[in-house]
Amino acid sequence: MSEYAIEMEHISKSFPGIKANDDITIGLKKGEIHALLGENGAGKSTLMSVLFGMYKPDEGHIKINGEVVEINGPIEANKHGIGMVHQHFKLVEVFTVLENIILGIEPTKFKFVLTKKEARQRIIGLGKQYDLEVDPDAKIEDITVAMQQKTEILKMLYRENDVLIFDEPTAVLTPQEIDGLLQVMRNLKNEGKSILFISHKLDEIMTVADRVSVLRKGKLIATKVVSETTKEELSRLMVGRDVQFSVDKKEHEFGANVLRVRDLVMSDKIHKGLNKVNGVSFSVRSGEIVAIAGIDGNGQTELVYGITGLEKIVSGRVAFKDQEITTKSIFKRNALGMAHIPEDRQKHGLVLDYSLENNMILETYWKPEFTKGKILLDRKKIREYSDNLIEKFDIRSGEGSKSIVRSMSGGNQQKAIVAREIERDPDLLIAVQPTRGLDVGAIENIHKYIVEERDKGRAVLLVSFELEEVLDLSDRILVMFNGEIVGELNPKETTPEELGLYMAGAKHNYEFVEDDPIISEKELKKEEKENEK
Amino acid sequence: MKNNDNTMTFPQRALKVAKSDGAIKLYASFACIFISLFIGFIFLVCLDPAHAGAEFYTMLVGGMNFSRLAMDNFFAILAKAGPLLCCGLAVLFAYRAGMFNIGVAGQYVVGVFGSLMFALQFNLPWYVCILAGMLFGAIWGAIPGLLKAFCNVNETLAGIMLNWIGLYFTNYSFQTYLSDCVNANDGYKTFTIASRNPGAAIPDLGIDVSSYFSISIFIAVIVAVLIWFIMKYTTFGYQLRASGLNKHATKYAGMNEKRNIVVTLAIAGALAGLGASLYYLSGLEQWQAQWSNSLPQVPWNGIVVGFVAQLNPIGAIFASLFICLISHGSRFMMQIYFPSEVADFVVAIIVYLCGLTNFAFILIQKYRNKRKHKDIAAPPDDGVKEEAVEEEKVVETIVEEKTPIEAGEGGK
Repeated sequence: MSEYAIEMEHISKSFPGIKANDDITIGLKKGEIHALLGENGAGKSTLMSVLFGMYKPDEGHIKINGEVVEINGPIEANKHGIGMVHQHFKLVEVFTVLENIILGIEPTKFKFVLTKKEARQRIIGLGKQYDLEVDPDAKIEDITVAMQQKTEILKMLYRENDVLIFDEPTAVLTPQEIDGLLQVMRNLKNEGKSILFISHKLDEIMTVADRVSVLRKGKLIATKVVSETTKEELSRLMVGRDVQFSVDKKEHEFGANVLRVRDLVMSDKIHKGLNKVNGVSFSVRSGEIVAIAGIDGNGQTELVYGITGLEKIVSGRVAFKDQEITTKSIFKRNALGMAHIPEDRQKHGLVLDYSLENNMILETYWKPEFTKGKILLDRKKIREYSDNLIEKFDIRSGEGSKSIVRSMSGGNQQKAIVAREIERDPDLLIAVQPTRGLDVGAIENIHKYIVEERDKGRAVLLVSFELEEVLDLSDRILVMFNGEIVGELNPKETTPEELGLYMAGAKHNYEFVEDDPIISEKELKKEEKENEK
Repeated sequence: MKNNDNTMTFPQRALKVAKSDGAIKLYASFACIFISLFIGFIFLVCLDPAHAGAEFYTMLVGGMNFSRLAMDNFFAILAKAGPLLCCGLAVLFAYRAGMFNIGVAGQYVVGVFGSLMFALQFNLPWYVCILAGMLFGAIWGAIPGLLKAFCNVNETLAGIMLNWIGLYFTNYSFQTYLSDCVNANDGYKTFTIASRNPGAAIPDLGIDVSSYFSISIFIAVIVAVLIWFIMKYTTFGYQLRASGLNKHATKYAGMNEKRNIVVTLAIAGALAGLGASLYYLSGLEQWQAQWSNSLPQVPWNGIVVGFVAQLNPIGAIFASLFICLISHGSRFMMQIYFPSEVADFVVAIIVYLCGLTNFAFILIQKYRNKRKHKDIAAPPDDGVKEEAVEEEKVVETIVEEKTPIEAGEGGK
């Protein structure tokens, strides 16, 4: 028997204009956690697609338990005992946990009568064995993201997979949930499973992995034993230069209020009649980064929808600069100088089947600099603008401005959005999870850009689930819990532990003091008239 | 198929074009046409094997007899292709914006109402009549647009109902307050344009090659190019395609979603109305004001044109010519052996196959893929055969090929 569960030897794979994998050789030992580290677009996803038979390698081969195999698709990979927890879960929302786990291999009687009893027993058993307890009869849409992830893991275990691949599993979890997941991974390892852990979070790799392979620009840079390396060395290997982990930020005075939100109430789309945001009030001044911290699902998304106009406000008022924008259209908000890096980049941020240049002008296509006579698009100028952004923000793609965005890696898609929003030179930048799913190099750059905006005197509203990001970047932290702001903290004085208490709802002291009430034009006129009388 | 890369040699460039997304769509269209013709042929063989071959040939080329005497055939096909092309554009234009304009039939019928009313009741010249047809079509298209934008009513539901409302409205009008336009002695058909108001007939610019000849096909082709241009080069087309590809992103970007829905469907309606005007003002047929149980065939075939053309306006020109060719050719088949509905049958198969071709391609490639693997699986050394690698690349492009529904940037 071979010492390796999987060996991928001399894998090369090219796409038009890009060599995604260039002679990569990695081996996953049995019973180890092997991390795969690399920047966005370094070739991790391509390598995994090759392993799952979704792409054929141009060169090279795959060995499983020492034998060369041909894998022609995910189903065959499954038969070889390889399973994957995707970054975006592949679950049926309206099905229960149990139904999702048995989907595709339903146990039946007489070939058509579903028999769930044994399956339930097995799932409960597996849950106990690996510390993955999930209620098998809960519907996916009703359980938390962490629970959904556990369901995905159970799905692999139920199929008796011995090689488990985790694709950036911690991107969607809170700090506490991440600890839980890492523990689960250790349990799995102790039970003899082999794990391939794709990540670019160095801390997690340092805590849980045994060995780590670093990819850069499609090439394998090194495979290291984790206990013999350091975070700094790994990041240097990954990015190809020294990386700065904290952000340089100069002290300066804040200006006037740019964004004012007063008593904002947003409804809950799933539970009718309830509110997701319940009377939130705050202001953001120019030159200030205000971070909204909190665990995912406490109303941050809806708060941003209300401010940007993506959803209707139930009650409350929003003002941008000196204008009330409570009922203004998204177009007007954009034109006034509000930029928005959306939480869901593929849903809101991009038209995936459009070319990169078309996506770069998504909000500004109507502006005189991109049009001829207001009706025709000026293709030449759009191309110039887009090429310029690609270079400035180092957006990597197969065919530059012409590339279809769907074909780009997630990190480069995010870079494209950030480039577009920052280049619009906004007065207010609303950044929701701006570095989600990005590697340290890209995170460093995006943080730099955000701080630059602040230093230029722009207002920044940052919504993030990453504590480090919140503490590093912001000038002021507002913690959201259950649709309300429960605390206002100074990042220099607070600790992650204290933040955690607020985030969990254990502490509550936020009293909003009205210092700059929103007065609409109508009200102003009324007042003037009364004064005249 | 633009290629700005000047450094490539001609064969390289040709190969790149031949493997591009647009080219693959073209192959898919041809494949679905050939397969459906083949099934149609099998059908003929089943009905009457002795005459199947000859009659099938007649159906295909009957319309292509270009001898001096048969020039009428050629120009009849062109005259019918014009209106069909307009209806095809009405469907694909809306589809590219993410809406299925099944109301094209209703827009067409109301277009008939508009153009014939202005031609026969008000005795106005042809261009006014065309504009009237387009205007009424646009109104009929705007109704489901308004319902969708402001009441969230699905445009297909509203469209289907408006089809029948449009038909009954038109027939009611010609039987009552526009009864001067119909000839009670000729089964309630409208009077011919030539007999009542020759000025309303689509002009032939004095070119007297055939009684069927008029400038209608040129109008339709110009409109097709115009639609292509609008979609590709204008801000409106940019918004329209974006909303067809990702509605959420257009909302996020602040595009006026509601206005775009209404305007898109109104333009689609105007195109259908134009098709109706071209058809009835070139005297191909008279409107029968008592047909109350069926909608005209042309707009339905427009849906086929839209999809055979893979939602590309330029492709629609050729698709409409092809469909007119076989439906016209089927008239020359011997009626004692086969009904002329065979052509409709073939067209119907094309519709179904259009939905299936992309899928079929994936299946075929998968099958070929598997066979290749069996051949090379035995000695899986580092050097996989060159040829096999080439094969995989093709597979990849096709598997990643989107269905026409998603494919917005297609065929540029």
